[in-house]
Amino acid sequence: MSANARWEREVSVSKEVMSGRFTARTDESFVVFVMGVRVNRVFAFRSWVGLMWSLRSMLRELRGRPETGFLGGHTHFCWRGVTLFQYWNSYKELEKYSRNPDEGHMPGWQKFNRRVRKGGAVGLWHEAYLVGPGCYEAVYADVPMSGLARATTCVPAFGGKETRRRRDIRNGTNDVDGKDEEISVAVAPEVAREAG
Amino acid sequence: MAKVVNGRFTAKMDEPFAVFMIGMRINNFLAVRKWLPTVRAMGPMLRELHKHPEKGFLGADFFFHLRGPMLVQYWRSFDDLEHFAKNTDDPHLPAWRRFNKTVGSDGSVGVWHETYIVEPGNYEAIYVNMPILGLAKATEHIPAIGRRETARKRLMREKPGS
Repeated sequence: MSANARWEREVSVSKEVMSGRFTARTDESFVVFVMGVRVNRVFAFRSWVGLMWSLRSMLRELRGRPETGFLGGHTHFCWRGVTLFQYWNSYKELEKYSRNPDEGHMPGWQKFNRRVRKGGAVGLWHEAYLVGPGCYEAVYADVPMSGLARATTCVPAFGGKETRRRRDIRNGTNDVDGKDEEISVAVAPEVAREAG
Repeated sequence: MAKVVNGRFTAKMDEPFAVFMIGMRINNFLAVRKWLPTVRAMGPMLRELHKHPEKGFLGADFFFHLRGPMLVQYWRSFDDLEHFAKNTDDPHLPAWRRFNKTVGSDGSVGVWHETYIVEPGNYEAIYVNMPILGLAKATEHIPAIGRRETARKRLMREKPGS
């Protein structure tokens, strides 16, 4: 299936509300990347229109390309800007993408530094969280498949497994013991490895 | 309106923390009596949290898309978040019960949340020409210079003991 066809199928999934309660399942570590653009001076069109445009082409470029490590994401708006919420396989892959001169990010970033940054007409920000295996929990009720569930695996919530997993997060025992085989939470120090 | 701070800044937090994203989706715009109370339930909760920092709430930012708002909240720990969510004296539980009674699973309003537990040093952040927001507002807003200049340096720098 072509990347575009895959993406179109994804879009149709993203509009269909799933009734009931669901959660996201992944045994791997992952990265949550939040990135925003803020238009500080609305009339400085030349500063921000191009930037928004390159943001759009970056998102298009990432669509349906799991080999980059991009798992999925969603876009929200805020006062004077847009914010992207993305899920990545690892920090290394996110970094590799952002520094690759052949991908859309690097030229966009250089352009921003050259033309816009000093003037202050546009603001940029990002936050990245490295989430260890099992160090998350999520619930989706009557929404389309979205967020982490769409980026990983979407499963019905509140089966025995899920209740136990949530309890283990609460007790801080989510990443150990192997007493309970049903909780298939890997123990690998993935996050340390990625950062190092 | 928040004041823009020119230059490069980052957030500093030496402790673990939790990021909590919560959103709602209006599936049926005509069901105003279902979604309006859901939207309005968030205000009192945030006011209560801002008034009582000892509950473990560090800060929040507001985002929206066409079908509804979402909040990104920063918490001291998952325990604090859960305690607030389940404590009968705090406004969340009554609001949640009300939601279950009035909306329940009729599908007119959808809700979702995601929580991530972030260990010390497992985050990095940069803010360029931005007002103080996000993690920096919730924790400490400091210039991204020297050992905090690049993403990798920031990530390594925040490791405990470094």
